[in-house]
Amino acid sequence: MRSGGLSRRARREAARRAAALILLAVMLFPVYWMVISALKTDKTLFTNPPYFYPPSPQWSFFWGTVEAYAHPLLNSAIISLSATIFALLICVPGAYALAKMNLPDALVNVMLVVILAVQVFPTIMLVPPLYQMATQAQALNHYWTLAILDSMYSVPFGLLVLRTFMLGIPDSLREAAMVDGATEARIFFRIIIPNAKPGIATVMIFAFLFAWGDFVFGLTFTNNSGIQPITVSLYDVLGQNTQSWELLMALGTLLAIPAVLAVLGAQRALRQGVAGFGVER
Amino acid sequence: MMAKNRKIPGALRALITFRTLCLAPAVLYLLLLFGYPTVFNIKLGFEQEDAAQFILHSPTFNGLANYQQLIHDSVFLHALGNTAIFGVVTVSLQFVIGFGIATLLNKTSPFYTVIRSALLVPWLLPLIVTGNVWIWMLDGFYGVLNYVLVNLHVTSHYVAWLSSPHLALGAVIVANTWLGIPFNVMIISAGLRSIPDSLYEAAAIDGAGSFRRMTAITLPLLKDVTGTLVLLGAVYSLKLFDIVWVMTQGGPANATQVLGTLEYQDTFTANEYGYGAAIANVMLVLSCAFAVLYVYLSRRRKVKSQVRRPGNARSWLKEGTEVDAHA
Repeated sequence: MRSGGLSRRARREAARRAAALILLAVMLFPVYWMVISALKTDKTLFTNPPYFYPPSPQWSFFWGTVEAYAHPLLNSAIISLSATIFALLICVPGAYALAKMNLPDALVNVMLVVILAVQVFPTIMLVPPLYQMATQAQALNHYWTLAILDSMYSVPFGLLVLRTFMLGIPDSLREAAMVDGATEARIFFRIIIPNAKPGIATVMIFAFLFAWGDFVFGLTFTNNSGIQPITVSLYDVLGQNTQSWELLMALGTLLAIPAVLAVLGAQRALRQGVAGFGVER
Repeated sequence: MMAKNRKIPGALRALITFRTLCLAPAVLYLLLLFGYPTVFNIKLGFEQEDAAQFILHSPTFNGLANYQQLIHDSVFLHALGNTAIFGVVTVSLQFVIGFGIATLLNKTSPFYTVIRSALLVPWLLPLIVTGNVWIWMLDGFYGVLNYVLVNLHVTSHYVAWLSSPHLALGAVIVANTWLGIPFNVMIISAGLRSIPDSLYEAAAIDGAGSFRRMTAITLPLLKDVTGTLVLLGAVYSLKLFDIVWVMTQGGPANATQVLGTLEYQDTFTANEYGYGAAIANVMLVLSCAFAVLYVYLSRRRKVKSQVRRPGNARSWLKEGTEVDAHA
């Protein structure tokens, strides 16, 4: 009787795990399909019924794509890294000021409401005026322009996440350092930054992913391939009359790498990012 | 005591300057990249500016003409309706599916934690990648989705989803739903974990079945989470651009046109800068309304949680419950 009950529970748990695995397979199927399509040839790509695996994986084509698109890939990397650094330069000190520097309550509240509001703003709404600004400043087709624009995806988020994070650093640390005669700058670099590292890592990862995934700024603010990010290259291929699906899927796979790496290696940061938009602002 | 008093003014002065140094970049950033463009748009909404005027920076004032044109513009009204449909359908599907998945995975063992993490991939993909792979899966000749649907006898033949004015909207909504499910799962999971087991135990003792436990405990206690997800979903559907632009560019025949794509098209394809700005301002008003609601809800929740269930609410807040649907 007892062992029957146990095995029933075990069976239920096994069924639950099987269901969870099936669900995962269904949810990740588009990603799988993209990767195997990149490894198929014209002969195995356009078949009915389709192959659910690549019969003879075409790795050479994939590496050829990496080579052929090395330049836009590098552009994306440069732009995303610069955007990340730029976002951190704005967010870390800004969040510290909002969290710990005893600013007047009214000022902090106004800032928080503004940050929340701009976070809700659709980026696309700001693209035309930003385009006019960039045209007038003759800043089109510049790495720096794209880096600054791409940072817009993460700065409001980063300010809020880091502020919440810094609120959690005990005031006693700061006060103790002050009593010891440390300057504000010293406290910031020696106490706040080391203690806020996990929060900074979270913002860093999201800032990079957001900038890496940017499409609209790249599309609008570049009109030569010299500094074009890889997202726009993919879009250009998509717009060609005869679409090469193995190429499109190979480019998609390359673009997906940072997201996959983040899931594999930065779980804590991702969870904190998810939590970051917490209610307690 | 004396020594301390002498020290304070110096420390205070240092504080003021360093404080400014820390805060000023953020303030300037927000003013320049968010504030100025917004004001610029508001002004441009009252003006007419075509390509030539854009180059010469010489728009002409035309009062409310852009807005008068908007109310009679059937494409704009259609885009507004599509945005609403996108929002309502996506939010509902994502919530229902996300709730199902979160309930299934609501266990602490590493097996489920790993699955929950792996699920995040679709949410973190660049939107253009998502659009790209869904176009391929929806392909009218070789799309794997067509193969699956025909074999499940859902459809009798291969369908060119994205080139049909009747089906394109639904197809883009499916892709859009897919990418947001992981986010919903994370948020709902956090919400589920915040419900104390004791409530379920008490209900079980009272003889409540699993359905009753869900309707009487789970769903009511997820009210805040649901509110957050609905609001963020609404915000997200206003932000909608990349995935629609990549998959259909708003077509065929405006079937998938939303506010974001229409604004971009009127500005950069039709070179109607003033008219595009007027559409942007409609988006601004709507997103401000959502922002106000959002601030109001989070303030209210904060007060409520402090008053009613401090211990539990603390841990729940720390777990966090919201994320921006990115981009």
